[in-house]
Amino acid sequence: MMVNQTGDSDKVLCGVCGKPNPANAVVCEHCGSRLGLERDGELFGGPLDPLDALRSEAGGVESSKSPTGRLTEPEPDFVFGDHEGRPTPIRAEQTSPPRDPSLASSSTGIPGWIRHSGPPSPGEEGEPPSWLKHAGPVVSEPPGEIPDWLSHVALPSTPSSGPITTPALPHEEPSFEEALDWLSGGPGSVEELPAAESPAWLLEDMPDEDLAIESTEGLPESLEPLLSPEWLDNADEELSLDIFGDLEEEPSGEDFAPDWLLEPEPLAEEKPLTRPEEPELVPEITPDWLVEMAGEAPGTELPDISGEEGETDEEPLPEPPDVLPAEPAPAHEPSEIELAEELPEQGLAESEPIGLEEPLLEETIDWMDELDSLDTGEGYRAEEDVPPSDPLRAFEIEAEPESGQLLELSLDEQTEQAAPPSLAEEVLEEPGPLEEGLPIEEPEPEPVEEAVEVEEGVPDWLKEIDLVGEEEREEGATAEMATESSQPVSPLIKSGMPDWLLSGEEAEDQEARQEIEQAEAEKPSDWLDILAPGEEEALGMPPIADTGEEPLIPDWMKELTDEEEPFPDLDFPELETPMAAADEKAPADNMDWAAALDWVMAEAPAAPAVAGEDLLGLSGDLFSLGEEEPITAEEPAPEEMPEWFHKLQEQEEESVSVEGPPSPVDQIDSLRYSAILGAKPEEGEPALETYGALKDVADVIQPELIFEGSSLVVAEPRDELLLTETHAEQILLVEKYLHADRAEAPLTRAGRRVPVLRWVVALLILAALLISAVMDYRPFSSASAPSAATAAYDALEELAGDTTTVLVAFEFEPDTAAEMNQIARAILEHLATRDSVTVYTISTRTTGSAVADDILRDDSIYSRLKENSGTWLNLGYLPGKANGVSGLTIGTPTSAVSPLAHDYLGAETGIEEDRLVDGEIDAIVILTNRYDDLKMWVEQAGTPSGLPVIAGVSATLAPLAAPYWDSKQLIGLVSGVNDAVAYQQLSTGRVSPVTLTTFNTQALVSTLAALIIIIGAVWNGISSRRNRQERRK
Amino acid sequence: MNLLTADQITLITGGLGFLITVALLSYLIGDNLLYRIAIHLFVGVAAGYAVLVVIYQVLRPRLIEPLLSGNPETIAVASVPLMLLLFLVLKLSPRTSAIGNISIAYLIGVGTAVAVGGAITGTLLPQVQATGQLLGPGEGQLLNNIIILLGTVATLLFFQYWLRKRAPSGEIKRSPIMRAVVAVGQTFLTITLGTIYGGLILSGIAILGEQVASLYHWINALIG
Repeated sequence: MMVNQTGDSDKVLCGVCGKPNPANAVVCEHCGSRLGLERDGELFGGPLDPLDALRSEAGGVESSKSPTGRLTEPEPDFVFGDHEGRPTPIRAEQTSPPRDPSLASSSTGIPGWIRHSGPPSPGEEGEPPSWLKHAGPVVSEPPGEIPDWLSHVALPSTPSSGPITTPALPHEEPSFEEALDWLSGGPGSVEELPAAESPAWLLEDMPDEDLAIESTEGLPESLEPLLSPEWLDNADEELSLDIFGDLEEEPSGEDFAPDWLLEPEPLAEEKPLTRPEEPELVPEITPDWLVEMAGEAPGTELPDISGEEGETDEEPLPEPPDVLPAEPAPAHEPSEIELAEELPEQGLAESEPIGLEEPLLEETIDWMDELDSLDTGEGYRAEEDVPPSDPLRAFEIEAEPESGQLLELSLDEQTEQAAPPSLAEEVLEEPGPLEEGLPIEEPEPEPVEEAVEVEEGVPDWLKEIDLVGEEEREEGATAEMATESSQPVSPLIKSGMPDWLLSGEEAEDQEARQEIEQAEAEKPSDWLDILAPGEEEALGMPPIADTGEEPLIPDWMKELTDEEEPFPDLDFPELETPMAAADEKAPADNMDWAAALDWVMAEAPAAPAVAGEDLLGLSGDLFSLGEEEPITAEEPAPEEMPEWFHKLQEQEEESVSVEGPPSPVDQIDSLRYSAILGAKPEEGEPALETYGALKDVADVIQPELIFEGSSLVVAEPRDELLLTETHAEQILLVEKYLHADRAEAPLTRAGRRVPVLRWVVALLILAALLISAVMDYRPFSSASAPSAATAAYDALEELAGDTTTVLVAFEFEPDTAAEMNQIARAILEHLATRDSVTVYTISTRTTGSAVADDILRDDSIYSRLKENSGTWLNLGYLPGKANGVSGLTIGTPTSAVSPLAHDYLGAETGIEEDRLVDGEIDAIVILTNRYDDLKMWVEQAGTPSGLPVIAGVSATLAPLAAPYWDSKQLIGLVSGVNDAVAYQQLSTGRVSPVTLTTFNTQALVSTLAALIIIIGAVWNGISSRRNRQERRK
Repeated sequence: MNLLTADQITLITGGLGFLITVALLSYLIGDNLLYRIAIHLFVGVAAGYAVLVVIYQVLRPRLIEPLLSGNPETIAVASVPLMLLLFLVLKLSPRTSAIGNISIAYLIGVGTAVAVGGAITGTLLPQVQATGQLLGPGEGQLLNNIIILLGTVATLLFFQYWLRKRAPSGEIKRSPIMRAVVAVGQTFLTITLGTIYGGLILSGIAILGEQVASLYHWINALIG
C-alpha cells in the first residue's frame, strides 16, 4: 500500500487495487486486502508485508486464502518436539520476517513449522479472534496502566507527526494496527495464530538448538545475532555449534554480548559492563509494581527449565494471557509516549507461551544492548566499544518522524508479540543481581540457568528504552518476537504480571485446554497427519478433512521425546514403508490418516503373492510376523499408545475385517485336502496314515492345491459331470482294490508257493527235448515243403548255371545260430551243388562274417563247392547298416574304396565293380532272424536293384516276412527249421542229422506245449464252470 | 606248430561253452555271479571282436590305406570321413562337443533320408500295390485274397485314432459297423501276434534243443 502522495493523510491507497481508503482502514474497502503492513514494509525498506514474505517463503500461499490450521507441509519433527499436547505456536513464526528477500520465493531454509502458517483469510481479517474479542481492543489500555518507567522515558519525546500513528487508535492508525496485527495476532492474523495452535509443550521440550535454528531460519541475517548471541554459545560451546552453526560468520557474539554474560564468574565481581553508570535511572523507570515484584524476586525460586534435566516438562508452565483484560477505552487519544508506556503491559497481556527462556532472556538483553548501541548510529558494534547512550538522547532522535515511527513500531512489536517487552519487563521485574547485590556465582552456568541469573542481574540501564536505528530496530524487534513469542511465559514473568493479565491468562489457558480436549475427543489420530500429511494423496488414501484443529500429540509421544532426541534420529521412511503397500480399496471415506495407516497395515500382507504352500499352510505366520515385528526405537511401542488410539485401532480393524476383501487363505480354505475329504484336523497326537505307501507314517503333508497370485477365482465348471456305467464300473473296481488292499494282511509266505504247475510244464518240455536231442528219438523224418520254400528252391535252380553269383547276407549272430544255421546250410548246400557257383557272403553285423565263415567251412558245403568248382568269398563286415546296403546299390565314388574290394581279413577281392548291378551277382539271399534286417535288404538292395531276393528267416520272423513274399518282393521264403528240412529234401533228397534232430525236438516240444495249452484251457474252463455253479448255489 | 590238437581245442571250447551255458541258465534261479560273469564275458568278447573287425575291415582298407596311397584324390576323399571322425572325437569334450554335431547331423540326416526313402519305395508302395492286386482275378486265391484284404483293412481301421468320437465322459463312440470291423481287425491282430509268439517259441525250442544236444555230445566226448 502506498500513502497518498498528495499529502492527504486521511486517504491511503491500496497496494492491490490502488483505490483510496481511509487512513484508519485496516483492510481495503474495495478489494479487501490489508493496508497497514504495506506501509510498514515501505518504512522498513524491506518487503511490503512481512507476512507476505513469510507466506511466500512458506510456499507461496496466497494471502487471500484461509489460514486456519492449514498444514500444507508439516515437518515430522514438529510432532515430536514436545509432549504437552498443545499446538505449536505459529504466531511468532509467522511474524518472523524473511532473512533475505531473495529467499522469499524459496522454501528452502524455512522451518516446517513456519510453513504451516498461512495468511489470514479475508473474512477473518476484519474481526479479531474470539479470544481477543472479549478482551477488548488492544489499544484501549488506559494511560494509567502505562508503567512509570515508560512514562519517564517518553517524557522528552515529541508528539508523533506524519504517518506515524498511535497504537491506541488502531482504527485511525492502520500502520500501527497492522504492526500490531502481525506482532500480536491482531485482526487478520488472529485466526491463523490462535493460542491453541501454539502449544507450549512443543517449544518447552523442544531442544533449544532446534528452536533456535528454526527461529532464525526465517529471519533476516541482521537479526540472527540477536536471536543467537554468541556469548550464549560460549557458555555452552557444543550447544552453540549445533544451534548457531550457520551464524558463526556473523559478527562476533562478543560484540553484542556483555562481558558479564560471557564470563559469569567475574561478572559478579566486576559488575556489569553494560550500564553500571546509570543505576539512578532504574527506580525512576521501573514501574512500581515491578519494583514490588523485584523485592519479592530474590525469594522466588526460579524454575529450572533446563532441557537436559527435563524439569521443565514436569512443571506446568503458565499459559500465555491471550485474553486481554477488558479495560475502559481511553478517553483521549494517547500520545506516542503514552502508547509506549502501555505497550509493555500489552505485550505482557498478549505474550505467547514461551517455551525457552534461555535464549529469550539473553537475546532480549542483546536486543536491548543493540538498541542501546544502535543509538550511536554505529549499528552492531561491540558493547565495549560503544558507550551506553543516554536515553534522553534516544528520545530526541525519536522525535524525528521516521525514527519516531520506528520506535513506535518496535515498541508495538514488543507489545504485541510480548517477547521483547515481556523479557524487558521480566528483566525489570526481577531484581537483578546488581540491584539485589547477588552476584552470579555459577562458574559454568547452564544456558537457561545463566539466563535466569542474568535476568536477575540485568543492569538498570537496560530498563531504559532507547532509540535504535531504523533497520536495526526493525530487525531486532522482529527477530526478538520471532523467538520470544514462541516461548512460554516463565513463572518469573508470570509472577510479575498484574492481576488483570493473570486473570486473562488463566481464562485463556482454560479455554485452550478445553479446545485441546475437545480436539482429542473428536479426532484423536490427527497427530499422525503431521507425520506424513500429503502422502494420502499419493497413496490414494482418503483426504484428511481440514478441520482447522490443531494437531494433537499423544502422551506416549511426549514421553518418547523426553527420553531421546526426537528430531535427528527419526527415520520417517520406516513409517512410510507400510504405506507404500496401501491398497486403493481403502474403505471408510472419512478415515483419517491414522485410520488409513492401520488399515494398510492390516491389509498389507494380503498384497504380495506367495507360493501356494505358504498360502495354504504358512500364510498365517506371515500376518503374525507383521504384527509382531520388533519395535524399533523410532516406532512407539503398543503400550505407549494412548487408550483412545487402541480403541480406534480396534474399531478400524473390525470395520476392515467386515469391509475388506477376503484373504486368499480364506478363499481357498474350502479347497483344502482335509476340507475336500470332510475330515477335521486332529488335535493333539499327530495323525497317522491308514493306508498307502506312507501307512503308519505320522505328520504326512497332505496334498494341497497350489495357487499363485493374490486372489483366487474359481470358475464354474463348464461341462456337466456325467457318470457313465463305465465310470461306475471303474469306481467299483477301484473300491474293490482299495478294500482288498485294506482287508488283506501283509503278504505271507502262502503267496510265495512254488508254481508246481509251471515246473511240471517245464519238466515236460525239457523231457521231450532231451528225448529228441539226446536220445535221438525222431518221430518226424520229413516235413512238407511250403510254397514259399519251394519257390525259393525253384528260384535258385533257375539261376544261370556256371556263372551264377549269389550274394548271401548273414544277418544273424551266434545266439540264433542253432536255428538259422539249419536254414543257411539248406540254401548253401543247394548252391554248392550247382556248378561254378560263386558265393559272396557279407553282413552288416560284426559277427556275421564269423558265422558265415563257420558255415562255409562246413564239410557238407565246402567239399561240395570244391567238387562243383564253386568258390566262395567272405566280404566280411559292411558298415553303415542301411547306408552301407544302399551304398552297394548306389555305388561308391571313384576314388573311394568299394565295399566289395576287400574280404573279411582285409585282403583284396579283386572285384572291380562297386555296385551290385554292375557285377555278376544274380540273386541276393538274406539270412536273418530280425525284421529290420530283412526290410533293410529288401528296401535298399532288392527293390532298387531289381535283383531277386530270397529270404531265409527264423520261425519268429515268418509272419512278418510273409507280406514281402505275398508282394513278390521276395521270390522265395524259407522260414524256420520246418522249411529248412523241406528245402533240404528238395535240394539233396535227405536231411542232415543235426537238422533233423532239431526239427524233431521242435516238433515234440511244440506238440507237447500244444497239448499242455489245450489241457490247461480245458482245466480252466471246467474250473470256471464249477465256480460259477458254486456261486449260483 | 600247433600246441593243441583239434580234439583238444574242441574239448576246451566245448568245456567253455558248457560252463558259460550253465552260467547263463543259472539266471533261472535268479541273478547271480556266474550269470554276470557270463554276460560280461560275452559282451567283452563281442566288443573286442567288433573292434578287430572294424580295424581290419573298415579303418585299414577304407581309411588308412587310401590316406597312405599317395593319390591326392583318394586322400581327399578319404579325408572327409577322417574329418567327420575327428569331429566325433571332439564330442568327448564339452567345450568342443558342438563341432561334433556336424558329424552327428550328417549321420542322422543321411540315415533318415535313406530309411524314409527305402520305406516308401521298398515297403509302403509295394505293399499297397500288392494289396490292390489281391482284388484281381486269381485261381483259387479268391478266398485267400479276401482274407488278406479284410484283415489288412480291418487292422488298419482298428488303429484309426483320429476318427474316434468321444462322449463327454471320454468314452469312445463307434457305430455298430465300425465295431464289427474293428473286432475283425482285432482278431487278425491277435492271430498275428499269436503266430509271432508261437514262432518265437519254436525258435527258442530249436535253439535250446541244439544247445542241449551239443552239451550232450561234449559230455559224451569228455567221458569218452
